[in-house]
Amino acid sequence: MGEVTMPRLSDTMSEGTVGRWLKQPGDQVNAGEIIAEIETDKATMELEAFESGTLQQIIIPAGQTVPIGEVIAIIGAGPVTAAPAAPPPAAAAPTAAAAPPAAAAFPAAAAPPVSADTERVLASPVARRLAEELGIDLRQVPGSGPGGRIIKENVEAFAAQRQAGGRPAPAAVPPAPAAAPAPPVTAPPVPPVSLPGAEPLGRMRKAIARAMSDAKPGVPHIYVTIEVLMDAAMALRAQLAASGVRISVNDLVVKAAAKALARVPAVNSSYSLTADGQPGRIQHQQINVSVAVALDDGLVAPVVRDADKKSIATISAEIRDMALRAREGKIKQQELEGATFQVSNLGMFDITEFVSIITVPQAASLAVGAVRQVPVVKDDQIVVGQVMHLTISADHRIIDGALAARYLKELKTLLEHPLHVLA
Amino acid sequence: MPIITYRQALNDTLGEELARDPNVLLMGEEIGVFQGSYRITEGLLQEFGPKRVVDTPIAEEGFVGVAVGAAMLGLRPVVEIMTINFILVAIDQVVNHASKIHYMFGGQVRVPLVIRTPSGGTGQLGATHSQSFENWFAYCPGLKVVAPATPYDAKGLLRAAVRDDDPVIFIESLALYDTKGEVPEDDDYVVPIGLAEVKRPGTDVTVVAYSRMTAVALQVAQRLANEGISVEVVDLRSLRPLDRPTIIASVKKTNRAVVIAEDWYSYGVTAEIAASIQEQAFDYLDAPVQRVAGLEVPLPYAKELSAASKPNANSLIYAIRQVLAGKT
Repeated sequence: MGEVTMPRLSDTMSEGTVGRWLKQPGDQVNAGEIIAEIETDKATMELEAFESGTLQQIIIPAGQTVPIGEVIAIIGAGPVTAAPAAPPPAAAAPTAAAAPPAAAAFPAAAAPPVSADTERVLASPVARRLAEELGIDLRQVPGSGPGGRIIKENVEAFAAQRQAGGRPAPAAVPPAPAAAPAPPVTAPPVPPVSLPGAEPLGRMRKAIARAMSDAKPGVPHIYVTIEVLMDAAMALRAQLAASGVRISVNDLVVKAAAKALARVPAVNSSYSLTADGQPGRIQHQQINVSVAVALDDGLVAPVVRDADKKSIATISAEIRDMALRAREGKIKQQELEGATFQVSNLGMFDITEFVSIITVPQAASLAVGAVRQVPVVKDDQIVVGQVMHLTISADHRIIDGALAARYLKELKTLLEHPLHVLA
Repeated sequence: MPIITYRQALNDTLGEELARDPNVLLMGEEIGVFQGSYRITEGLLQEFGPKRVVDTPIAEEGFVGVAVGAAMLGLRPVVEIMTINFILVAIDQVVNHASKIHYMFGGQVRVPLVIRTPSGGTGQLGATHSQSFENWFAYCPGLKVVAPATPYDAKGLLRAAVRDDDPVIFIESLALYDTKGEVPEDDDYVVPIGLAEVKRPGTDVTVVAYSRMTAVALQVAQRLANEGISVEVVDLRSLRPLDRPTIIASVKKTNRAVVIAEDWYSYGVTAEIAASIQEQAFDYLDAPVQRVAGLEVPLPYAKELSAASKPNANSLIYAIRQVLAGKT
């Protein structure tokens, strides 16, 4: 008998909703057959059966949302068993939810969740004992101690909330550093994932990573801002427009950001665990820039792949197409995955500058402000200039201030000499 | 109840024990004619005479050896070592003889010896005169080591030490001699060796201390109470035998522990206590046990550097905040 669990269908998915069951209890199911539709935070995906048999029981009915790893149905040999073979959903929850977000960052649909208990939850001994006594799954308890450690008080608060029937709020978790329209970020401290090919960190880098994580649990962000003179870029854009090629400032920034990543590749990386679970980093060969697109009730970030190699016209067309489809809910899950860097732009709202939050496992995110007319000093004269502020948020475990600054300097140089962006 | 100094409590007790038991005698450098380097033995030579209060030459190994022999033959010597730093030349007499004779003579001979000595460093006495070696003796089976923090405990433990049939190292502190506290009159109470005491009850964190650091811990507990932090202070009073049950019971209640001692950090008393806590109260801990101890340097003479090398109220408060991190 096999359990069908809520699969992990995207980088950022922590829970999923059963949209529709395509099979009913008693139906014969073949491996590879679509048995349900799962709605994630981004898209609707089809769920395939991994094994053949009879759909014995639907545990999670359509419309209900459960964490990934939770059992949603049972497939077994033979006819439907009279008595429920599996425990009822309520009882199933603690154990099923116990399956951690596993080690798969980019899960292939074929890989069922494996490795049940490999990730250690940080909890004090007394918190651990208390949770066991109260039957609480520590993975659901937000920790307020150093490094996100769950302490006794957190378990007690969780128990009290459970008693009151309320949803546990991650109240004690340190607040997110920025009030920016955050790119899709999963819940509190995301344990680092293991990416294939990650190289172990050096001794100093490891110490920095640990110190930064202690100070800022989760992904410890740092922020660096630079001012860019956009006169030349705006003039170039006007010239292109005159010849019928319409590109936005954002298109230009995306292309320039990708080019700058090619010149400062260390920013195009991820903090990750090595195969043997040690802290490490991975240098991405591809430069895939995601562009945050605001929706009515949220946002998605479609990915421009190989953005450093594509022409600005191609980038512009791709972004327009994906943004349109995202707003219509027709974006494909694959188009939202695999980014190595992110660009968020609030220039259209006249925002001068802001900070964005990194989407793991990316190591940096660029926040783009408006192009504004301001007095600038040129050749000792005060003249009207067009400036734009860029703020990079970087994962301080692997990117230091100087590196982030070097990247921004490169980006500024490109944007101030925009022909180099096109070249 | 009368309020007297720690010094007075010791002086009274020595006088009372000399009067109570004719086998008790005092030995040490400058304890008679000079009245004691720290005036602990003031007036006792005049009262009990030179056979009971013996001024010795500056020869610690010699007179500690004499005291061990005297104890073996039935006297009850109470030796003063001017500071614990000077016991190093006599350590063979203490560790290889006093502590082992009862065991190696098949239980036929006992060594009812008390060695009183101030430990620790205050007041710019320099690197060789400011050390804390009580852990060296607490390490050694066959010895008992006590370290009272209050005049009441000083009296009760000194009585217990003089009346005990085994060698007892009695740790004092220069900084405690002038501290005051209530001590009952006409009350022959004894503080049993090997019994710690909760000096101040609390609920948020246990601070384990002894001797002068207990006084520091009590001040800190008072300060933090104003912030709503409830500190329980466990005063060890005895380092050997060590009263682990009292420590463990407290940690099980508060789920957090900070251990403070004046000796050096590595291999010090704090290490022993912290190890015991994790062994016996692991499932009750909400944070790693923090240790506050002396910096690992020969103590500098310069006032500021000297102060910075020793644990104090600020370093204790810092450690308490560390173990309380995340608690609302």
